[in-house]
Amino acid sequence: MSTSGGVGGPELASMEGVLDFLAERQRAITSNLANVDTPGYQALDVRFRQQLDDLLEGWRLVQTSKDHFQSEFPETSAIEWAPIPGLVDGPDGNNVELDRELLAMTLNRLRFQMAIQGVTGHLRAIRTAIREGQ
Amino acid sequence: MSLLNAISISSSGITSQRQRIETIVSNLANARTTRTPQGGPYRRQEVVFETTAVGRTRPFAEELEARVGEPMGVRVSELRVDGQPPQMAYDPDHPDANEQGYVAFPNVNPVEESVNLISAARAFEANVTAVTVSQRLIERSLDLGRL
Repeated sequence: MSTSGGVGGPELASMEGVLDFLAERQRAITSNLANVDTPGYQALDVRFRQQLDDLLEGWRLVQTSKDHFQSEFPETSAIEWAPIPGLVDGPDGNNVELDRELLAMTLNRLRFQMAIQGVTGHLRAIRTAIREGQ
Repeated sequence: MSLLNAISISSSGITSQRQRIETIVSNLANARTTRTPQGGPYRRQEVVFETTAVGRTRPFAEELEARVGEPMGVRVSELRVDGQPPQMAYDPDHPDANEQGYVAFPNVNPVEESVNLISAARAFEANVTAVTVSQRLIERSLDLGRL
């Protein structure tokens, strides 16, 4: 899903995908925090349907030629909700770990800021290119 | 926008934990109340939490696996009265003592209530923090429009 109308190229669409993904992860975390004491509730997280989480972790731009960078990022529609591995059910069937969620929220926020800076830098570069082309 | 929905979800957590805190405070304040308008000692109360949809939930993808649901809020589905019997203590001089000299005290364990209170307060704070974080994410996204 690209809201920029293609003007930024596939790189911008990929970066928007990152922001969407991280926003949905924040939503998953808020759901876990709101239901930290709900009996039977299972904590959830976002992931890509094709198990492409490692793309997010080790995401880097691949230089396909001297002047062109290609970024690969799955489409937003491939996102799904998934259980979190390694959690244990309490006596009421709830498996939310409050500290894990708070830490995840901090990390997510940092990644979001990094992604925003990436988009900002990209948009500024486009704007500069447009100006200098005039 | 999913981040606005995130704020609604956190808001439901704040409300629910606040109701839980109020219930615990009521239990603690009435831990030694031997006389109520309904007759008999104070009865311990507890809230029952239930997952609930809040705001507008956007359909996410074509097929959803059913192992977990999607992000949801929470609500208090029931204010339940604890069915445990009152604690009997021998005190024949007490104005509410029965014929055998025993007084029926509330089925409230102050230590247990205090532990629950700490837990509820922590969960409350965590949901408040989540609202702040979601708000900041939205604001940073809006900053993209102003380079």
